[in-house]
Amino acid sequence: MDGRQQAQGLRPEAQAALSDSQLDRDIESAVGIEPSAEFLARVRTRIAAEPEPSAWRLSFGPMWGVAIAGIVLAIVVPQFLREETNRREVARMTPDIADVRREPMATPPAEARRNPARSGEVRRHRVQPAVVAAEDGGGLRRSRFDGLVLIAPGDQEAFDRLLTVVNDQSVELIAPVLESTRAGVDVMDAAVPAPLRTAEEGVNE
Amino acid sequence: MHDRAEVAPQLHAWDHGLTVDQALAREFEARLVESSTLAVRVAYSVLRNREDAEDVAQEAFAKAYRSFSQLRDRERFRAWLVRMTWRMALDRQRANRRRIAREGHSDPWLPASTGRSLGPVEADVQVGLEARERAAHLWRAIDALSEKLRIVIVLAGIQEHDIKEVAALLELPEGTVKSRLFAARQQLKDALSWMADNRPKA
Repeated sequence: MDGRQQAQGLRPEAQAALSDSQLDRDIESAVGIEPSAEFLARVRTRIAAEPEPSAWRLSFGPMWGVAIAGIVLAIVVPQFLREETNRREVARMTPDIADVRREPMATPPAEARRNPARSGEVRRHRVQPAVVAAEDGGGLRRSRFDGLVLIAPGDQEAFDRLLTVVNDQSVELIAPVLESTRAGVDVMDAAVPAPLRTAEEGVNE
Repeated sequence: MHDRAEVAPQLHAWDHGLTVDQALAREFEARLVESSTLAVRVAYSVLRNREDAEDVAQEAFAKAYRSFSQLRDRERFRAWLVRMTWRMALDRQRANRRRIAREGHSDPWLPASTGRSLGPVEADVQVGLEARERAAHLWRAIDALSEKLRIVIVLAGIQEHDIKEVAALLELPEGTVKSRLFAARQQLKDALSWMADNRPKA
């Protein structure tokens, strides 16, 4: 029955005092139509023309994710392998390089700074740079270069001798420089401490 | 008339020896049967025309079928169907209005002040002009409501849904539905009493 027919029950004179339930009944009457007999058949026909919402569509979303991940891996992995190969090749071509770990400079204790003449404090503070011999190819990765100084084997020998002298405390690093400075030595002379200069010239004290 | 009590169980393919596709098709058929009246009434409450309402409901079911893998839950399906049908009916209504304006004539069942189509005459022979006018008053009052209030009052009127059911259909809190329903009823009563008072005397 059409809603408009049923809305007859809406008496204008009673509308002012319309209760909620009456109003709901009136609305229900107004919209209370039934689908026609052929409606369901029409919908079924319409749906028959639609592509099936097959179960495989359920897994279509995850499949996209897997496909994208596969493409990304196919691009990234060969690139990574190529870079790795290049690094190993570079390492293989430079096997005799030694790298030295750069450590922070030894800072003399506060008392020694205040009174440099008593440099025993300074001497006890040993300088120990880590000398690392060149390893095989894997040792030359970029990350391992961070904070390292590369020196040639010949220079490494001289450097080792210098470190040995310094660590044996057989040379005075600071006091002579300061004494010279007090005496008004030329700036250029003071720039290179005498014991160092001696060591470079191969004259051991 | 009241088909909402029918609960279609969710079918599992392994329980019935069906393929997954067959199980989905059966579930959809169950949803179609139990929700067809609801969809048609929702569309009718906007369009006031049975053919248009059925067309819109049919399209809504076709869309639901395409997305049925995500709409297998009964409550979710009905809520989705109601909202989709409502939106599609509003779209159809706008299209009808544009067409009527373009063609430069108005429908004989169109109340002049609302511009809404009441559709063709269906077994209306015995219904007098006065009855049609009263019906037009009710629809005019409903149309004057905001969209939020309108869908709430219409759904409450369809199949005597209670507040909980309307809240589930609109996926709104029950408190929101309750307050909207109250506001809608107040506005409807005011509008209908005003119309009654200002009704032109024959």
